[in-house]
Amino acid sequence: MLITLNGQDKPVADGTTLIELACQTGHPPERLVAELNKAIIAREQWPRIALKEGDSVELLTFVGGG
Amino acid sequence: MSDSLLLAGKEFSSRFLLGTGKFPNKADLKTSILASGTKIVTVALRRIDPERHQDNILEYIPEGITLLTNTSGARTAEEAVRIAHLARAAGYGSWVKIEVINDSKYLLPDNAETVLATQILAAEGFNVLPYISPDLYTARQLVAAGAAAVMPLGSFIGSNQGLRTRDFIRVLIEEIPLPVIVDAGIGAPSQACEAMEMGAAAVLVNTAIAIADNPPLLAQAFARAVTAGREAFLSGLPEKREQAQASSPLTGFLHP
Amino acid sequence: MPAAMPISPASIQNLLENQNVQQLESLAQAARKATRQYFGRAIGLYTPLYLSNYCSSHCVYCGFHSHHPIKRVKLSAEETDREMRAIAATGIQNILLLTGESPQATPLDYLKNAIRLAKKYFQGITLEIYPLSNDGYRELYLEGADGITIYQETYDRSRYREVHLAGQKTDYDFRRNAPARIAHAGMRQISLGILLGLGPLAEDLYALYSHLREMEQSFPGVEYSLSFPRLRTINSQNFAGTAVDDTTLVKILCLTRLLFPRTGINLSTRESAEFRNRALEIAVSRISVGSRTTVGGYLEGSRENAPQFDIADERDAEETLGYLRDHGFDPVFTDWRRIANT
Repeated sequence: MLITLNGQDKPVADGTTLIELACQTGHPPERLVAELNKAIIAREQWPRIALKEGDSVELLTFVGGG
Repeated sequence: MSDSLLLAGKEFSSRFLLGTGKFPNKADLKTSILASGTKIVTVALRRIDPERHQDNILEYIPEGITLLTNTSGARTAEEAVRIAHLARAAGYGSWVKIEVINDSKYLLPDNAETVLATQILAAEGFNVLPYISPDLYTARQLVAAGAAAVMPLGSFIGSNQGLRTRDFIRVLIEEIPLPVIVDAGIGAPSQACEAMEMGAAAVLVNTAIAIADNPPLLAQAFARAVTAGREAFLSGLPEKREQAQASSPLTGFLHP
Repeated sequence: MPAAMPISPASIQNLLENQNVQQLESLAQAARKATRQYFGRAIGLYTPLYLSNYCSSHCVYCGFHSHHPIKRVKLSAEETDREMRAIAATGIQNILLLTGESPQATPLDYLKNAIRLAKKYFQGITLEIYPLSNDGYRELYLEGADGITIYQETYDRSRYREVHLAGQKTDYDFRRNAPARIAHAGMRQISLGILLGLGPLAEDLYALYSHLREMEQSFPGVEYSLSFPRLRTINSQNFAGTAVDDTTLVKILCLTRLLFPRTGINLSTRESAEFRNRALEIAVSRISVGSRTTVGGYLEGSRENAPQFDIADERDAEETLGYLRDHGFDPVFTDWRRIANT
């Protein structure tokens, strides 16, 4: 199925959970923050959230900044 | 008696804050943090690049350092609030530096949007450090909103011009019952020292150190300058003396 | 963080005790420079009108206190109107309305009526009256008053108790907190002060300066001024605790100007013409003109009743204005014209 990740189309397997998506990025999940369809999802919830067609996900992390 | 920096009820042993942006070599960031003794660093939140894996900045920030999430990228209060919420969800505490900029030419902060964001986030329990153009009315509104400090800019971000706004910063130091942390535009340790001599509570430096040839050495110099300026302030600097005017006596009549 | 006061009672005491003539001159030069910088040569002018000498307080140093067997007089509306017209004819545009401490004789409505009458003749209306509640000040403000003058006399509580023996004036805190109520009510101008010679001088100056700073912090939009009336004789009787000489008063004016460069400094006709003239050169920005301190007194042949204090500068308005103009001062009759207080 197709979801949007950080503004770009991304095909993922049906039933992919948020935690699985996060792990696929190569970033340690504990360093990431996730928004699903504009709502912030707490990290404990990620294993329980199965993505659906058309979902928009934002994955963010801390970077250097002033 | 301790002279720690007191922010939102927490004590910090250093009055030097370090920004982590623009460091070409992340390892330098870690060494700079250690060499300067800073206890508060700013970080930003960005989308990860799903295609590339980058070292996470947090790897380079030692334990025990308070992360101050900068809402850079926000152009409105709403965006700043969203970023703050994201940072909190990341589990790294509730310290946020509000930076709302809708001006890509000068990078001047939007004081009005900053006040709005502060009102919302302070009410939600965040420790809010708002970055502003030094304006007395804005600062008073921030006090009322529950900010933990005010952060007036010294000069344009990245310009290294020092305390161009010194007279206005002085007004804030005099009138605002919150720590005044000078941020932006500080390019040399002498400028940081000057800010502390004036009575600023702390100073934040980023660009000057990040782009230096030897960031850790410069970070250490800055930290020492901040300490020197603070000690000068505490010791009570003598007033610059006016020259006496030669003119007809005003008080001769009192002792004829 | 607002800085601590840059001086202490001890450093004020040092200044008062310092005999060095050169240092005094330097101090005066610095004060003059600051005055020129922030006020130019502008001198604000006003005339006081005592509406009533009825008083239920007993302040031992005052010519009007409740135990003086003086004739008690209160201006009727018609008398008030005529007195005001006489003052306005001199060209003065700011009036200070004064009463003794008697809410019974001169209640709020009486004061409001006086303001209503004053509005016909004067652009600036201030009052020096007994302390009111917040609501009371608000009513005066809405009626058209621009400001209030209220002196704590002395900030030393035990001395305050010694000299204020009866009546509402015995309430130290109600009086001290009046400026905050006045500012809350919306008034634009507040004048504070101490009576020199009444209380411990260095401590009283420090307390006055602290009070002003407090007010500036909490109510930054108000225009403040300070006065330093020296205890004077009343019908040649002297009530001062310690005499305050001319040199001391000059030091006080200089110190005040340097600590508060933008705050008005007022010198009334308690001081002689000679002294006022000299002080104008150094640090004063506001003076009363052609004053009478009896009730009314501006109409021909009406100086019948007891004065609050003896006047030392007896020049009338025309003489005073002449002096100001001849010496390059800029007499200011009005700062603004009122549209309405809301």
